[in-house]
Amino acid sequence: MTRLLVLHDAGDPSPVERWSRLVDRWDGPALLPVQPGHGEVPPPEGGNYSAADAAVVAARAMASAGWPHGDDDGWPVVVGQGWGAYAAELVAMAGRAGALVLIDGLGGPWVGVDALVADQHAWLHAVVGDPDALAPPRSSPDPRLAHGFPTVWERAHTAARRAAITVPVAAIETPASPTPPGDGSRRLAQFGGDAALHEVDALDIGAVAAIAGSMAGPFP
Amino acid sequence: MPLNLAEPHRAAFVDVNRTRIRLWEWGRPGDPVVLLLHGGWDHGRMWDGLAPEVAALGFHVVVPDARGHGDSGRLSLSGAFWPMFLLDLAGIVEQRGARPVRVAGHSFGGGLTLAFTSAFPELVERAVNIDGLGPPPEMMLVQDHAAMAAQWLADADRLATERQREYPTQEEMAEKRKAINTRLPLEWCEHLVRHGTRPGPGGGWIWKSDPNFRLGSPGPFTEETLLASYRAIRRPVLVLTGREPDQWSFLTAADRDRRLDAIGDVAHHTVAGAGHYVHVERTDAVVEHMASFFS
Repeated sequence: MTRLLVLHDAGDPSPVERWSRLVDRWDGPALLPVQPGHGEVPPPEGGNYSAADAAVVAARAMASAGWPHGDDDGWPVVVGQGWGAYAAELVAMAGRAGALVLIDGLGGPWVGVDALVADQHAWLHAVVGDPDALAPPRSSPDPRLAHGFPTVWERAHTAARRAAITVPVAAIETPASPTPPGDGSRRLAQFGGDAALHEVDALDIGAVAAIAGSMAGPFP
Repeated sequence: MPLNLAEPHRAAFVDVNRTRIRLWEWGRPGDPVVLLLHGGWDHGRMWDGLAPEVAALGFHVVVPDARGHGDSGRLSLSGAFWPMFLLDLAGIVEQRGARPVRVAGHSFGGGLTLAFTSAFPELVERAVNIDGLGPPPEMMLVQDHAAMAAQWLADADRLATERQREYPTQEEMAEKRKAINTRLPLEWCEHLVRHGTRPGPGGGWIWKSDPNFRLGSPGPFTEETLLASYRAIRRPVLVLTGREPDQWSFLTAADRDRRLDAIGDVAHHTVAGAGHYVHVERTDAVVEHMASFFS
């Protein structure tokens, strides 16, 4: 029975409602960890929302569910959207995914290192200038998440990182994707294993289920 | 023989950026502020020797324990995330209502000093970096991203479950620190232990520092991004390095010069009789440089 792990986007106002439809359709064990600062889950101590933290939350959810490496069912198909897709890549880099489904996860426009730094500075100023983003949050999702994240889309770093992902990858791109039009297939070529692109007009959970199901393992 | 150092004039906690930061302060509120930022695994009391001397120059010296260090709040699940330190510093400057400030930092704190100056020129007037121009390029180069990520996540698993190492005595901790920082005088190691440890559950002692500080999560932190951050600095910078060999001063002259060249307005001085801990080994020289550069 292939396992499924779903990593929702940052700032998703209703991650459970959105993704339980996929979990319900899945013919096997499935996990949908709600990340800190979302739904009923308290915000993280210290206010940090890095995708690396989301990957640790995902790893702990798998461990808690008794999904160790080496059993017959192996690692899951990991479906991630946006920020959750980046976390899914980190989980796969660490060898804890059997396959990836990345929804609007191929990344924003490429930036050089100077633009990377400038974008980080702009993000810092945006947060510092927003009292709601600084204060302990009184609503969910956390208002800090309205500012998104500084870009990480430096081409050389991304290429080196993605080459380390050797499990099968399916990318689902909707019109909401930050990836520049026409760039999707070139980005897929960065991955170290098989990769397929699905361009769709809108996010349809049934289609996601079909694509994830087509990648079903079990994966070693 | 313990160091004969005065206690800070004031100690406080401030709530900034969703965390609690310990502040140690010297000098008169209302005087121009100098922020002093300690190195990785250290804490604010690292500045107990220098801070009163800087205060005596007519400055209000504000020394935080960085998050994940000393008495301040903890790091997040995946380890240190650089932008959080910068938001913390912006919050501290705001709390003390003294913008723009002068900033000095040692080692990791020197890195924070330059990153903060680069990001928030409106909050910083001048910056001093004490042997903190970043790791050597080969340490920043990831050869195997898969192995690095697997190690990071395995370490995060381990640190979440294992008990923090507990030492029977503070003396043993000071001796261990001395073996790691061979140029740091033993009495300074003892001072750092006295203020950087707390009783452990087994009757011994544990470091206050957050073990998650050792986690290096995957991200686009490279020599090129470091140089880009330096290129964005719009304030005068003074860099001080020790002239003596020290295993913790690991940049080659060529690497150091390349990083200095990336900073627009920079002066670099080497200090005789000091290694990595320039402000400890040659407090007098560092105070003299700060008096001239900050005034």
